[in-house]
Amino acid sequence: MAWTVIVRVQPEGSPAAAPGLYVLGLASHHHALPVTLAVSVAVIGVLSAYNAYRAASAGDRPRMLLNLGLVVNVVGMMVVGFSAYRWGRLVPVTPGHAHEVTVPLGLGTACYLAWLALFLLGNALVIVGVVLLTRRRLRL
Amino acid sequence: MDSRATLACLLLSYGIPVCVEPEVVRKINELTRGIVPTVLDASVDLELEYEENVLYTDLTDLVAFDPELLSSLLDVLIVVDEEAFTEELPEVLHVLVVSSSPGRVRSNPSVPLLSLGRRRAFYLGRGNRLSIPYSELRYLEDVAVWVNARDVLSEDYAYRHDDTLLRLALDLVEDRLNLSVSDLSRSLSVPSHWARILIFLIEKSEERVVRHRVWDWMEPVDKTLFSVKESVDESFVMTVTDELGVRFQAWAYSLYQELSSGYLTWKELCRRTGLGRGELVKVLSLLSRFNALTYKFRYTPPSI
Repeated sequence: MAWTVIVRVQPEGSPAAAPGLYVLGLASHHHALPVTLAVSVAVIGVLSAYNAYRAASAGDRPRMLLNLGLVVNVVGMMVVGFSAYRWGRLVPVTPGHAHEVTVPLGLGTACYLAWLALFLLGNALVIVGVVLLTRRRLRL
Repeated sequence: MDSRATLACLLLSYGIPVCVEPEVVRKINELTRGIVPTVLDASVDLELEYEENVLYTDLTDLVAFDPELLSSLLDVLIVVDEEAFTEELPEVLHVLVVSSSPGRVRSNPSVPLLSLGRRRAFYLGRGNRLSIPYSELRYLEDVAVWVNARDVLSEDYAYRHDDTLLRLALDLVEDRLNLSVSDLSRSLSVPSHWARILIFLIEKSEERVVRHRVWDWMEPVDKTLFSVKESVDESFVMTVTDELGVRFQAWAYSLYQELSSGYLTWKELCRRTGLGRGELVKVLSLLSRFNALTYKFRYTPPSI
């Protein structure tokens, strides 16, 4: 396929490309480690959403921002992972050693950009949350 | 310091024993202009600024001399040193424990205590000890709402006494049959916890009960476990509800019967007594006025 976004996936070591794509995209290809990671990420997402809700109810803004940031990060991973799950194909490059996930360029790029935006936003929220929490602790 | 004094005042108004540094006791006396009748035990070496309602005495000797005096001490703030806060001290008293290091104080095993240190509060229950930074006090359910813990770190949290404000609050309390903390706070343009302190001061200065008419005095109650102190008996409940009519007395009696069996949630209390939430909260408020209640609070800060 000429128009593809290619993510190189190696059985040992981590890929240089988007971790979300790696983690969630491969969940559909029956790899035990990615499935475990995908479930863990989803659990973190649910926990963070619950924490963000509780912090918001208690008027705890720093903790709410921190947890929202984590939720946004997880959503980003879901987006890029879903694209690999829905449209990606696992192509063996070297038999028994390396694989590639290929995604059509249009969809792949859109999802990749969406993930990048969510990644930046999420981490910005996490950083602001941590800074506010630290400042509050220091003010005591 | 002022915020801690305000927080201690609020906790005491619910009959929750509090431990503070000597300076905070002075501050409480100053903030409330000495309105709260206080007995300073001989174990405490303190001079207070507003002394009109302060009695300096040896509490143990006083109670041993005449046990009947205990009933007259029920509405009085008792200030004792941490060493004197033992099981011998009648638990139904309104106790403020003084310690130079509140973080290290031991709790009387029968009554949970909230100790207010410089940087954090300590919740000392039976066998457990929770260290709670003030910024996390908002997760100590439900007492966090009662003391407005969200604002505890803000500079405007501390109560500032104003006689005009107290008179206005008294007028409102006398004019209206059904009151609420939120209405009072809106009418007087003060934070909700100030309104609670004003009600507390009115009750102390006028020697009357107001809070059973304040529908949200003890709201919310969803996460707290309630019980009565061991020294509270039937006659105590009958006496404190004597002036509030037969119906109220019957509610209080049925509630006492259930509470004396151990710690219960409001739902269990409603189910067992057949009372509605509104009626239940009224009686709980009344019992808190006379320090008859003991509580178990839930502290659940988010994991991240």
